[in-house]
Amino acid sequence: MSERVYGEAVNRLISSFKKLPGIGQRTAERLAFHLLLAPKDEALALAEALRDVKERAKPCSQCFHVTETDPCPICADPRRERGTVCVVERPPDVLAMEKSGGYRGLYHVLLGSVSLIEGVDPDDLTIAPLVERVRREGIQEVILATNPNFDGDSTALHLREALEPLGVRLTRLARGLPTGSSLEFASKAILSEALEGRQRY
Amino acid sequence: MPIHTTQALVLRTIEYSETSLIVWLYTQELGRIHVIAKGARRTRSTFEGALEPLVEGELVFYRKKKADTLDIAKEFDPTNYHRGLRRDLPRLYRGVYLAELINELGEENAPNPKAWSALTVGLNNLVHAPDNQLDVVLFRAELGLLESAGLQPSLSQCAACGAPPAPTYPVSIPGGGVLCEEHARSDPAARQTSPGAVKTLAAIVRGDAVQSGPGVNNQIRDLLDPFLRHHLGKALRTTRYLRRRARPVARPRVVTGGPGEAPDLALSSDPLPRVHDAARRR
Ligand SMILES: [Zn+2]
Ligand SMILES: [Zn+2]
Repeated sequence: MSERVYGEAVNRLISSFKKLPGIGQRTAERLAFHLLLAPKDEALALAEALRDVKERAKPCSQCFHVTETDPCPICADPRRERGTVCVVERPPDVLAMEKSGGYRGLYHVLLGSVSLIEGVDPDDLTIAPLVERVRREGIQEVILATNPNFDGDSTALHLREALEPLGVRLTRLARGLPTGSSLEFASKAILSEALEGRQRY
Repeated sequence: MPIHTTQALVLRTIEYSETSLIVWLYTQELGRIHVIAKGARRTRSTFEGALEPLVEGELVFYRKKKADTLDIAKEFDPTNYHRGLRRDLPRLYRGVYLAELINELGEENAPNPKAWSALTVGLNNLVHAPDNQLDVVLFRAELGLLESAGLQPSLSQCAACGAPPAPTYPVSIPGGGVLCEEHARSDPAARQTSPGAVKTLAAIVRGDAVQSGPGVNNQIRDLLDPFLRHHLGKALRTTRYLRRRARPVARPRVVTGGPGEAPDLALSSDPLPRVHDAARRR
């Protein structure tokens, strides 16, 4: 029925939106109608941006971070420590780590996380190229910086399974109390993890 | 809007908006439910970031009157994170499998104490059991869930007439279990299985201390998978993880189960330390 109501062009836009993660029929319609009513240059700017991202940006051939040059600026930077690789789930995680300013090594972007329940397997991620990289480049330490949640933990376990046989040092980001917080207001989950991950002092 | 409080196990979550989650749970008081947890994706929320698969806790939620609206979670107070499952792949795989199974078998809005017990005892045992007992623990929980749904296979007497099973233990999946000589002849679906696997499974259901090797465990899976497929009308998505062995990811996917895995049945003569077993049934 919607076909008759909206016409072919709008339907095509709606079904394109629906292919995006987390977007259902109603959201797709809302986005499509928004663009339908938006000024022409605004809508076309989006089209331009989509074209550019596909034509210019691509995953770095070494670390899979999004880049317009290959290798990416981080992989190409001679001042980075090449013996350490920090494994993250998605490109925004690289930006977050970089903002912290405390990390001088390289990265590896998995382009997702294992989800046993939703059916995302380790083979759907860039784990095989990571194993290859560690083997080939004599990496000494791999920092597992997957998210501290169920899928991040599942991902870390598969990374450990794949990397352990190589004898590389594996570390995982500490989890626990945020700096500047107080015990009184910490959640049970955070407190119990902080306790478990306590360090010698 | 009536308010409910119940112990609950998180089975699955999906992101609903920037801040909210839709959560599938199995509960002690109301069976399978799903709720919306508004604000659960914020770092600071009343849900303590604990609405994650395989976490058990006390759920407080509002029941919506209308059938087509989601119940609303108010609080979730975690009481058992089952962290041991999140540190070891074989345990994790079996945990998510149980979650998928109860999600399929569990009835919505209907309490089922046997199912709740099989599920939670099973998960606890998966956390604590020694490595070589994980499959036994899983089978026991799995059979407990099947029983709670009225689907337990008949393992020690003919499913059709109650007579002793034929010596080769032929099994009929649609017929509901092992068959006697006579019914094996008349049931076209009867097929040969490993008598050892059936006997081991029966011992597991009885609650005996059982030690079975990977060979027999695979044969038991070969029995249970089609049985579940028959009743559910589909294969469980997480089944494939159950036979997975540690493997280097860089290599192409290999199907395991070669001659290297010694098949051996051992109904142990000197009993093993028994796994926690509060849910053992008569
Ligand atoms: Zn790079
Ligand atoms: Zn019979």
